Amino acid sequence: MQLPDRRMWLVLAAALWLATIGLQTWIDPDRHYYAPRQQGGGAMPQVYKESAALFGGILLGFREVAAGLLWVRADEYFHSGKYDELVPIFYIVTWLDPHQIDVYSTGAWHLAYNLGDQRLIPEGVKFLDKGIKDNPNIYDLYFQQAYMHYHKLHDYQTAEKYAQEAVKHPGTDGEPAPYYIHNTIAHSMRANGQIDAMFDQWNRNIAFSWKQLEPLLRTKGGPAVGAALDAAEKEYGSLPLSQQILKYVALPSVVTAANKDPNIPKAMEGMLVQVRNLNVNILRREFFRKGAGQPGYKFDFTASPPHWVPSGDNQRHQINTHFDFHVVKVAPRKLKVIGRLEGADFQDKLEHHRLYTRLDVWFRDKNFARRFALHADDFTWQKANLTTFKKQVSFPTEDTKPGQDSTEFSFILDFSKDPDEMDHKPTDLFPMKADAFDLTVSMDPVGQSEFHQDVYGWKGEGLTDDKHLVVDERGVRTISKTVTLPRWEVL
Amino acid sequence: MALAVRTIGLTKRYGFLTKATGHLAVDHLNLEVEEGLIFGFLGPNGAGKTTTIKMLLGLIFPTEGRAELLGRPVGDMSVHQEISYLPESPYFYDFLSGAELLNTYAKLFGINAEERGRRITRLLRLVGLPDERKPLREYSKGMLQRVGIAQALINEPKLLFFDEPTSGLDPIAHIDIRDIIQNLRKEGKTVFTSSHQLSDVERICDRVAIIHRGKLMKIGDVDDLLAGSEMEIIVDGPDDALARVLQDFAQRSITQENRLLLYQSDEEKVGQIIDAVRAAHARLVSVIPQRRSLESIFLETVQQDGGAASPPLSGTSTDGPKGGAA
Amino acid sequence: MNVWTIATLTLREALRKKVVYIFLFVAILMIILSQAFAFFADPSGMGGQKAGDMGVANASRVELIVIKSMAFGVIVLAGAVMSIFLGTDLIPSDIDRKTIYTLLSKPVRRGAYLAGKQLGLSLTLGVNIGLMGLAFLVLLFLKTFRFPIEILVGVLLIWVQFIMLGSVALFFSVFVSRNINAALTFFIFVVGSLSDFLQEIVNSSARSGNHALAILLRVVKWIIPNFADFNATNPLIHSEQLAQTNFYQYVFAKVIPLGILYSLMLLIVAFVIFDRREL
Repeated sequence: MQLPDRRMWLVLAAALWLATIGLQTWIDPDRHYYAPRQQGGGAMPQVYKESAALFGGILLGFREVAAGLLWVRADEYFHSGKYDELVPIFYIVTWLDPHQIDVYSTGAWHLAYNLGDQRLIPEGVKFLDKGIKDNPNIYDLYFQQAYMHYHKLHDYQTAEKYAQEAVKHPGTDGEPAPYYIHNTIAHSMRANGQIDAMFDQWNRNIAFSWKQLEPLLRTKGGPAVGAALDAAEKEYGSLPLSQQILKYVALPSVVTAANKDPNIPKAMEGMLVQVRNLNVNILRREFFRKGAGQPGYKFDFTASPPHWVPSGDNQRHQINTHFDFHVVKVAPRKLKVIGRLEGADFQDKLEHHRLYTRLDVWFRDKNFARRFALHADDFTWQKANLTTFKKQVSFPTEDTKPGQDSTEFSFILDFSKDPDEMDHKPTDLFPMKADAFDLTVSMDPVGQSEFHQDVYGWKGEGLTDDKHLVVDERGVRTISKTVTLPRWEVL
Repeated sequence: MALAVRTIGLTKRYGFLTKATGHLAVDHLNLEVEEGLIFGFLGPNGAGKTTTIKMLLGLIFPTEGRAELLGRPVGDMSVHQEISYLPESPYFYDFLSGAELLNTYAKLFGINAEERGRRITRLLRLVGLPDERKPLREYSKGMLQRVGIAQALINEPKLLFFDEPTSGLDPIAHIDIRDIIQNLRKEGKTVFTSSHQLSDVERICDRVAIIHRGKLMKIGDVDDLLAGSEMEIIVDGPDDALARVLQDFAQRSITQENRLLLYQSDEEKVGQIIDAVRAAHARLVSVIPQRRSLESIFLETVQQDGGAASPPLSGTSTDGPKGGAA
Repeated sequence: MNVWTIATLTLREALRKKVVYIFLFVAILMIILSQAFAFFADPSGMGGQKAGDMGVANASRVELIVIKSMAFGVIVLAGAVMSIFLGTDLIPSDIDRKTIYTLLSKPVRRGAYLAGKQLGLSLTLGVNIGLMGLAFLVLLFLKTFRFPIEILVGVLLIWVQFIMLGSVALFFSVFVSRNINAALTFFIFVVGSLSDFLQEIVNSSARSGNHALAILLRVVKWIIPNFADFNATNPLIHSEQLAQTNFYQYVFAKVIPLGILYSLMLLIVAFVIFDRREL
């Protein structure tokens, strides 16, 4: 029973084969999403991509399980202090399962915040980069990246860029990005000296939040809430939106009604308060900082509350910090920094609680000079011989007595032990291999408390110094001094 | 009369390199089986019986030659509606009951449900298993063979191939199945059966063919084959000289007391023996034609071919190499 | 018609095999036990290190991820074992027991016989994989009090994957012995599951200028069944990813047609070989 059309069958099989090749070619570009392998980035050696694909294949459907179990292993490494082993595990876990958002955010958080080695911060950034490449359509990791750039790298421009990207995407739950991500945009703008843009952004944020809030308040809330809103609208409806909302939500009747209403969830109440506080804050700051450092204005410490007022002349009345410091070696690897920064001594004149001025301290190999981000691609998790250490100190300290000179500061930089007491060897953490080291102490006005900023202005306009004023790329007037210490002065 | 089976130069060679190294399982077999007969296909183990049947059924393919079933070439699917096959020691899907198996097989012929039910009832009664509900794995060999016969009849075929239908059966099953096959002739069916059971063949077949080493050695009606051409000539008290002469003429001889029993199938020689007896005035007691057994014909045929004929009755193993990766 | 009769016969026969039930039982047991794994995999120790409002590592979310992944993995594994075990035995058992002679001496074409066997195997795998999927769904219901029906798309994907693997086993069974077939089919399954890896090697060879190797491996990838394509349940495990991908298009327009066309192709080639096979 040989069929005469055997050849026809073979032709049909060949045609089907070609169809499968066509389909496979169509499928191939999609595989990057489903296959466990690192995408693009250039930072990842090819062999890692291959191993990820290999193990992903061998593990069949179990790769997410394997990822989960490895993640537990990572936890053990973390608790037993094997920090160097952690980074590869983070990568293996996310190769096996590139869509475990929690692993990216937690892993990056560990690298940047919890491992007690500041040289791993760029590693955290890099890890989030990979996470974003693997999960580009949700806001979570963009937001993490923004947060890290803001708080750890003080790269506010990049922080804003990531926050802007974050709000374009929904979350893992499909909901739009929440208000605090929008707020991160505005915070980044402020820290970056983009004050006008910041105001616009706040207005947008408030409008955005209110647009979500009001209908929710009306639909979820009972008649009391509705009546309070109606009354507020009647009274303030003609005001600009930001003031309108300020008045609405500041109205005790609306807040009280919302608080009492059992149908309004706590989260919504929180949002309500958040919106109100933002409004209050922004309008307040706008008032206080008006004219800071401008000719014809001076800071009136006697006003209540103190703020910039017309001076009656056309002079510039800036506050001179007369900033300086020097370094003393008190022991090998132990430095004492002693210095002075005036202009913060208005604190006694403010009838507030005591104010602390924050100083940024950065000790690092000479010529390791990046002001902001250590870019991820420059850096691998093999930490090499780099020494870099940042910290923030504040003064006056708790034990400065009232009446004592509160413009002086001193602090210890102790490189002979692990500052976080996480059992790192100090010689690993601070190899001190360079011939000389730079120590920078600076005061960034945007990093100070709001009360300081009310004096200094949005970008430090009210601030000056004879020798150490630096107007940086943000246009922010920062007070900063760098000294170079030869190696023998440290060790 | 129309031919149920016809082979023309049908040849199967195993081993695919050269003619020299190949093994001829079936060697230019020319066979014609008329419809309505029970045809016995005989041969020692390895003679090519099963190979031939498999070629006829399209399970393996001839190296040379061709074959026709019911006037149509092998491979024509329509023939398969009208034939059936019972392999040697068949093993069916043993989780099914007999009725389920028959039902499944009947579906393969496209028989409708109503007709299936009718035939299954009738066939199970015919083979003596009317009420079996057990799955086949609990059946004895005899019961399985009964089911095998029933499945072979499910399509009411014109032509049936049985491979060793009665081997290894208990006596009752043996007799029953033999009777069923015999009855098929009455229904006008053609049965092509290979068998080792020469006594069965002798009893039920109309016509037999004997093959050996793939070649057709002998074919003929059973009656003709068995009808003796051999004569038994009994001579009373021949003297020694006559006895020597007579023994030279005979194929074999037996001396019983003062009688000489002579056997010869050649008619001319028989005449010469009789002439010699008369010439010597000895007493001719009787001249009787002998009816031969199929077994003796079989042995004779096979031995003529110089074959180391293993007795056909031994064992049930199939002949010919298994269909391998040819 | 005959195809369907043989398919149901094959299905019934397979479902009488005790060993199939053992596989099924073990698989369902493992799916249920995946909860235990999830318990071990709770990374709350790490999640706790994080600030509260930051994307929050949710222990029950991670637990669910591990349960789903584990269950899919078990189904894939059990499916692979079943398709190799059943697929390699389809034709040889018929030949050993001579049942094929009674079938093929009836008006059953060899092509119909093969197609019936393939269909019957596919149905058998479908029943078993479907039962496992159902157990999976029930487990998820007990965990979350809802039926994530989309899980069944993953189960369907796995089914088509093993229709394809079954067709590989059936293909080999028309010309090699059972044991060699099992080894070959397993080998093909492994290689096919590594086709993403193969692609990476193709990419790197092409980049490093080794074009001969790249072309050779690309052809290999075209020939082998790419089981790795079916390894795509990740978006079902992270259900929030479903909205972010063209998962359904990927499954229904690309991978399932691929699996079916490939199986069909193998079936035809198997038929062309089997048609000349001496039985």
